[in-house]
Amino acid sequence: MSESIPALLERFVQGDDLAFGELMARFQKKVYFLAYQTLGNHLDADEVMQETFVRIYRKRKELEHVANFTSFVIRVASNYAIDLLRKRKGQASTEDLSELPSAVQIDLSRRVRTPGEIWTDKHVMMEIQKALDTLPPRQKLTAVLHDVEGYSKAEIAVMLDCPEATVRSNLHIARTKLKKILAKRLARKEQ
Amino acid sequence: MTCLEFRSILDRYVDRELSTDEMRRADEHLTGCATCREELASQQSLKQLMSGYVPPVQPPDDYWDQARDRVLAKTVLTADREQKQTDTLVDSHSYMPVMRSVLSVAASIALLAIALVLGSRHDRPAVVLSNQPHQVIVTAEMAELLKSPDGGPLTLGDQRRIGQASILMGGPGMVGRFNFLPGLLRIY
Ligand SMILES: [Zn+2]
Repeated sequence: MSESIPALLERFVQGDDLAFGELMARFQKKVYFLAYQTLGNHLDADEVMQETFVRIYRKRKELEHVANFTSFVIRVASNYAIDLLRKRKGQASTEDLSELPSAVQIDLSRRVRTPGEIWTDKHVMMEIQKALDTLPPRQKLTAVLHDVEGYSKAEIAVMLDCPEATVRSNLHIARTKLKKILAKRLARKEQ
Repeated sequence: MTCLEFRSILDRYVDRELSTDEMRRADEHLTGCATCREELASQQSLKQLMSGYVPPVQPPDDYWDQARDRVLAKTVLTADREQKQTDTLVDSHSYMPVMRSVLSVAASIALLAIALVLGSRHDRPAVVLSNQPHQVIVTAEMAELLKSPDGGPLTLGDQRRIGQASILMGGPGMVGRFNFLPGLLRIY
């Protein structure tokens, strides 16, 4: 049986560095992919992921009072991702798949069946990522956290430190924009 | 229900947040309104499309372990080294205080001069950060880099963490701690 998050958290707060490593192992993919969806490229996602855990390590003392560690992690990661996006002048730089280094693998195993479908899916995913990239940081994060990751509006309000009404309006605006950009794709889907 | 009213609850409809009564009234409207039915269909397929989204690119398998090692190097391992450094410095503190302070005055002045010279290039003046108990002299560019990520004042912990190689010198009342920051050396 693997140790529960609260148990790991307690050990980490008390100064157990092994528990920190284990917590990172459990949450790093979540943080990486959220950052990737927000910033659109590996280097920035990597930076957000590493910096998030460095910050969490430094905030170890505050963690004693944290009710929901997942929300806390996402909050730290979102804050940094938003900062980084601002530094990039709001422009996410989505990687062009044709220019990817060979070390980067394409793995869509969750949905892949035939080579033909791999090609289609890869392009669908790129289309979605590019559409996401047109949104301002908070709208983008709200859309990703709600519609991709499946968090509730109340949870997202905590993660992004804003009222639930703001989550609703950001989600609404994000969806309206995405619908417009992805209109062709959505029409094909409905047929 | 009007079209406008329906549009205002469309998000909640798709997210299944409507009350039974609201739902019934919305469905009544939908039966008689093709435009809103279309709007709903496109909203639903957007949600479905998004729910199946995975980033088109994934890092290689060994990335995760390597990234974890890098974080540990910046946190856990650095903290250990700080502890060792501090221990060593405390041990040596009782030996030859006079000799040490003479040497350290000379060294401190030399380092200060170097820091100022380096710092004055590119129009970046050197600054002294004195978040006690130690003073750290860095160039303006390094001060920028050293700034606590949270935007707050630089804590001693931050200074320690970032200063990968540091020398502690000086007797009582003297300028004490200099950090040889890798970034500083790289810049010039
Ligand atoms: Zn209508």
